[in-house]
Amino acid sequence: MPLLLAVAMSACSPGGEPPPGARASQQDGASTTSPQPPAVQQPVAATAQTSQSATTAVVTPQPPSVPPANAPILQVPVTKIDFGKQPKDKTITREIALRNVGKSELKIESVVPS
Amino acid sequence: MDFPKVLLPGKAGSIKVKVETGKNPGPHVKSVTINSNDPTQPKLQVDLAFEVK
Repeated sequence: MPLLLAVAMSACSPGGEPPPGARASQQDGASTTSPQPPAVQQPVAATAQTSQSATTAVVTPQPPSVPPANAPILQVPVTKIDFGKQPKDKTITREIALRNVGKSELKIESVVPS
Repeated sequence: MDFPKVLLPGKAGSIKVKVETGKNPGPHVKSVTINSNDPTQPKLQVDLAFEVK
């Protein structure tokens, strides 16, 4: 009996109020040997997001683009041309064939030598 | 370089290139890069190989 009273007293706050989570039906001095359930803590967010909106997304305006199915397709049948043996200081002229096998306009923006 | 600016779907064209062989003997490779609005290959390289005698 004295032992049970000691346990009840240690669980109470100095103000005499029962600790949070304590059963309301419990009377003063009643024994409560069962351990109190741990307080549920909210997980700490690892990001620096504010509590106002966790789903704020920054939308970067994208230029209108052609759907992949209707995109232009550049086809160059030969991507390596071998002129063979040539003399010095000669200008070789050749036409590179190409075709648009896509479904929208193909724009050749530039042809840059390297 | 002479090339078509626009190719309609299904149309073919050609790019006329000129290559100077120079004075250095031996094998050489020069390239041209075709820049277009093809989303899968916006830059397509064509190699031009030759050997100077």
